[in-house]
This record gives sequence, C-alpha cells and structure tokens, in this order.
Amino acid sequence: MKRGISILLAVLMAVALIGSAYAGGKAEGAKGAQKVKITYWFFPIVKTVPGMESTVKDFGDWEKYLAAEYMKTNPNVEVVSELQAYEGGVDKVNVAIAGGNPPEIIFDYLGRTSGWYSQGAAQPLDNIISEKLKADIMDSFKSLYMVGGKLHGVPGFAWNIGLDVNRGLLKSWGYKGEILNGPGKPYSTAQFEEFLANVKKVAPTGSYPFAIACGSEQGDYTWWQFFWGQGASLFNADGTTVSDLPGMVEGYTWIKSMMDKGYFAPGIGTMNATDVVNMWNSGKIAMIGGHKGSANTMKKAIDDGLLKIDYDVTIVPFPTKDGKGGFAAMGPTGFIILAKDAAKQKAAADFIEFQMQPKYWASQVSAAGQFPALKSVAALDLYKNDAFNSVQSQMVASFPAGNFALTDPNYNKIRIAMAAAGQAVYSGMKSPKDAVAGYLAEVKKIRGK
Amino acid sequence: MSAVAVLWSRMRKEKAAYLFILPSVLLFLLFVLYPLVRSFVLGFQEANLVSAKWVGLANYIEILQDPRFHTALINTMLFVVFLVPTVVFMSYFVALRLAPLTSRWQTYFRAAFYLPVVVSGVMISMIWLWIFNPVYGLLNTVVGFFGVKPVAWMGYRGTLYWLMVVVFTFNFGVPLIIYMAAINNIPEELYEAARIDGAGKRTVNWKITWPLLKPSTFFLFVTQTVAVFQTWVVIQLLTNGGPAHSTETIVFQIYMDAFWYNQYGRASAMGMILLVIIVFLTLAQKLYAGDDVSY
Repeated sequence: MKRGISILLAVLMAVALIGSAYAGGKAEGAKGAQKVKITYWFFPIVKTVPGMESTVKDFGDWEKYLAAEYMKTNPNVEVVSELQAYEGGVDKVNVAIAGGNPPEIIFDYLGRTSGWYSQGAAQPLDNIISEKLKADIMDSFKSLYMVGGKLHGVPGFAWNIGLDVNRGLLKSWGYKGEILNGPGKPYSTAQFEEFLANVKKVAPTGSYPFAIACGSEQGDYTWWQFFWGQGASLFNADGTTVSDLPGMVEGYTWIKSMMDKGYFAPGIGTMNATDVVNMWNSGKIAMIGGHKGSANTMKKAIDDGLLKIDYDVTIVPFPTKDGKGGFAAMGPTGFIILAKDAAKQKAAADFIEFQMQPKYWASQVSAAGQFPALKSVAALDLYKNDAFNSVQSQMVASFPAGNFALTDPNYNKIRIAMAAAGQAVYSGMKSPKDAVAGYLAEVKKIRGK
Repeated sequence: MSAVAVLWSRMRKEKAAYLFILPSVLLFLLFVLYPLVRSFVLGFQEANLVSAKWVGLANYIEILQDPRFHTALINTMLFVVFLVPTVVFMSYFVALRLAPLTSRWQTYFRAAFYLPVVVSGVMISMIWLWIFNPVYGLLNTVVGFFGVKPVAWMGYRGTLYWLMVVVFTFNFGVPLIIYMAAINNIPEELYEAARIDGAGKRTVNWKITWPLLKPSTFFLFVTQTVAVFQTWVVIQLLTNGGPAHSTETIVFQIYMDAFWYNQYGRASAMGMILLVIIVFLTLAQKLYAGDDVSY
C-alpha cells in the first residue's frame, strides 16, 4: 500500500511539473490566437509628463497609457508594454533574440539598435512604415538611421551633450568671473584652461572644476567632444574608417594634463558615469558633460536638501582649438521592429505611428528633455519657454552633428577598445601615442574579422 | 549482464525512488546537461544572435592566440593560486582560534564572518566601490590624513591584488563555518590522549586536528577553486575589466564575448576551456589529497 502511494505521489509530482509548464505556454498561445499581440520593450526615459501627473507617476506609466489609448481604437491588437532596466536590460534583449522570442518593438539607443539590425534581428523598415512617417523624419536623423542603404529604425529624439555649468555652486565657492563666453557661445581650449585654473583656485579641497569618466565605454560621447575639439576626426563620413589619429593622441594628452593639473577629478581611468553624476549631485564638481537631464538631477538634489545652493545651471559647448565651435554629439533613440510575421509587423508599425503623432510625441520629447527627430514636432518649438533648452536648441542648430560611428556594426567593440586605450593613458600604463597605436591595431583586427 | 540491463533492473525494482528523483533529473538534464552539450557544439560555430555556421576549431585557435585571453588566463590563475590557499588556511587558523570560545561568541563570529556571503555580491561591491573611489572614497580620506594625494586604487597595475582582497571577504565565510563545525566534531578524547602524551598546542593542531580535517580541506579546496575561477561580479562592478583589460578574468571575457559582442561561439569555446581547466585542477587536487578522503 505504502509503495503504491509513493509511486502515485512521484508520478503526480512529475506530471504536475511538466503539466504546469505546458499549461502556461498553451494558455498564452490560446489567448494570442484571438488578437494580434505585440510586445513593446523600452528603457526608463519618461518619468513624468506635465498635465498627466495623475496617470504618469513613474517610469513605464506613459508607455502603458499610450498602449491603452492605442488599443481603444484598435481592439484587434493587444500591446504589452514592458519597461526594461538599464542594468541587465540589454542582456535581456540579447537573450530574447538568441532564444528566438524577442519583443516585436524595441525603443532604444541607436548604438544598440543598429547592432541588433546588423545581426539580422530587426527588419528593414522602408516598406513597413508609412510614407507619411518617413517624410516626417528630419533628413539628418534619417541618414543616421540608414544601415547598408536601408532604414533600420524610426528615430524618435536625441540628446545633445554640452557642458552643464553649475553657476550656483561656483558662486558658493566664491568664483566671481565670467562663465567662458556665456551660455551657448563657443570658446577656445586656451580660454577653457584659464577658466579651469581660476575655478580650481577657489574650489574647496576634494572638489574639482570638472570630471570625466573612462572606467567603461559608457559616456564616450564626452571624450569625443574633447577629441573633436583637438582637431580629431576619427571616422570618415561613412563611419567605417579610422582616419585622423594625431588628433586623438592630442586629445588623450590634453585630458591627462588636465587631470594631472587637478582641473579634472583624479581617477578618470576607473571612474564610471554614475560616479561623475554623484559628484555633480553632491557639489564635488562644478561642470559635467550633460544635458537637461543633468540639470534636472541637480535641481532634485537641491530640492531634496542634499545641496544647499541656488539652482542656477546653464550650458556651454565643448572647447575647440580655434574657439569657433566644433561638432555636436547627438545620441538618437528610436524604434526598431523585430517581428517576422507580416501581421505583427503591420501592427507594430501602426502602433509606432500612433505614438509619434505630435499630440503624444511632443509630450514624450519634452518629458525626456531631448530634441525631436520629426519635423512636425520640431515645428512646435517645444522649448521656447525653457531657458536651458533654448540655449541648447541654439547650440544644436549652430554646430553640425559629429559622427561617432553609431551605426558601425562593430560600434560596441570599437568603443570598448577606445575606453581601454584611455584607461591605459590615464593610469600611466601607456603613453598616448602607444595607446592610440594599440587602439588602431585593435580596430583593424575588429574590422578585419 | 550489461550495465544498462543492471540499471534497468534496479530501476524496475526501485520504481518509487527513481520516480521521486525524476523531477530533479529532468531539471538537471534541461538546465545543466543540455546547455553544456549545446555550449560544446556552439564552441565549433561562429554564432551571433540569429545565425550560426560551423567553423571547426577556429574559435579555439583564435582564443589561444589572443593576448587578451592570455592576460585573462594569467589573472584567473593568479586569483586561484593566491586566493584559494589564503582563504582555506586563514579560515582554518581563525576557526582554530574561535573553536575554544563559548557558543555565544562562536555564534557572533560565525554571523559576522558569514554576513558577506548572505548579502548580495552587488551590494558588497558597491560598498567597496565607495571605499576605493578616488574622489570621495573612504580609503583616500584615511590616507589623506597622512598627506597622501588621492590614489586611483582601481586604476593601476596593482589593481588585481585589491580585487583579491574584495573576493577574499566574499569567500571567507563558508570555509570558516565548515571548519568550525568540523573542529567541534572531533572527539575530545583524542585531544586528551595527546595532552597526556605530552603534546603541545602546535603538535595537537598539526598531528590531530589538521589530518582529521582532510576531507573538509579537500572539499574546500575544490569548491573554492571553482568559486574563484568563476569570479565575475566583483570585476564587473569594480573595474569592468580595466584599466586597459588588465583585470579581466576568463569568466569576465566569456560574459563580454556573449553579451556585449554577441559572439556566442567564441564565448562557448572559452567556457569549454575553463571547464577543462577546472576538471584538470580538481583531478589534480584529488590525486594530491589521496584516497583516504571520504565523505
């Protein structure tokens, strides 16, 4: 009897285990058969939307609201919107693609979407999205999103990196001079050095005028700005050829000299972007390579009582040798469609187009504090009442977008190789010349594969 | 009778027992054995996110010729050579000091040393990150009192050794607990007899305690070797493999190849190389420990 019960229990356990797994899959399948179901993955960008405070309270709420609005008019489509964390989110996408179960839509940074597309995980959109939407994309953005002659994604908006300057903190340190040539105005490297020296004189012990992170490849757009300022032009127009390396040697040499003089915080080779943001928010540095988002975090630090200074943040471009201004670093974020099934592709394209109507997209762009990729939204002049973004809008209009090879299929590897070269320089393991030579050899190896 | 027939006959005889372990066996097959076999096959392919093609031994040849892999291999071996004996012997000596204490003090020290094992590796790494921070870190504040300029602890050639200190704190708790339990299980009569024969403290430790802990020591050497070989979180969070790839280990490179570069074939081949190294070292340890180790 005992033996019989034991066998029965064991069989039940095994059946329950297998059955529960099967049942989950089947229920999903049965539900999906009734409608076209599309999954939309995105990262934390929009936290609050003015006028929508009761609905949009945290990251992910805005996208859920848009999905719900879309489903009201498209009852045959089910949109599942899922917020992904920056930490581990990209790994999750990779695993989902490799496992053959990716979402139908991803909204993410161009440096990653182009990589997924180049590996064949995403669809070319030339024949999937409408002519109306294609015509609405600004030409400069459209060219950034072309991979192998095809439109690989729909650009949504882009950040632009400048130098955020905390005038409130400088005042509290006792700095009384001018902020270079004023908000948004170009200036020379020599002027910048003089400014840094003057700020350093009044900075309390343990505080620095500026910090830059090279502990990982994240934040590389800040280095590019300094390299461009030193005359480097690392990629040709097609974004595939390493060209002007002396400018890069000069860039590394100059950054290291700034660290050695104490103008830039020490430990550049090990610091990561979060460290720099922490220093900015705690008043350890007076400048950061950033945008409106960095200004907002500063405002929050002051509102939360972490910093007791007046909020007074403005933005200036990065320095250039001749003082006439260089390139603008633009980091676009956009949609890609990964669905293989025609019905899902159509639903995905339709949902993207729904979100990008000016009435929704204008809110999304301004909530993200970025610059729109659509002509219809740009025409609304979103930042006319925002002093910070007005200055930045002028900067974006004044300086051409620099190419840092975001659509290069090897972008990820190249930027990591560049971070390693920087770390070798800043930690004193290699001279700038040797580090750049090593970087060049690595890039050739990467491209040669 | 063949081995399969013997197994089949035993399974028919003990149906209930085998059915009870069936769920575990299925999970093992699905989540351990299948990925292992799949990884072995992938090692011979050039595989990205969506496609794979057969390349034979090309991944293995490329890895073995890659200077970055050589650095990772040396770093991994340095970790094992320095850390495993240090952790095992230190935990042995600390356990010897703690064993004679009252049970209340033993509980206190057990909890204190075991805490880093229970707390998430990410949390502890974040604390170390703050300690080592060149601008607002605790270590620089302390050395600053002696007039030392800020040091980038995670940014020079010796960074690997600082990482070992961090990994040590993670790995110390388990061996200590095991040694304390094992020491407390040694019959008191053995010590009494030794003392009557005139053995001193040191002699008792080396002639009685240490030999009787041989099974625990072997177990700890094997498990610590495997654990140290798989060090990843600390490197990922504290140095990200830098400066200039100088602190990368094999597991870190596997992670980078798979999840950053999407080179699943190369990552799998590297995983197989690591597996061979670990199996080889474990067999060597078993050989060295001899046959008198039992569980």
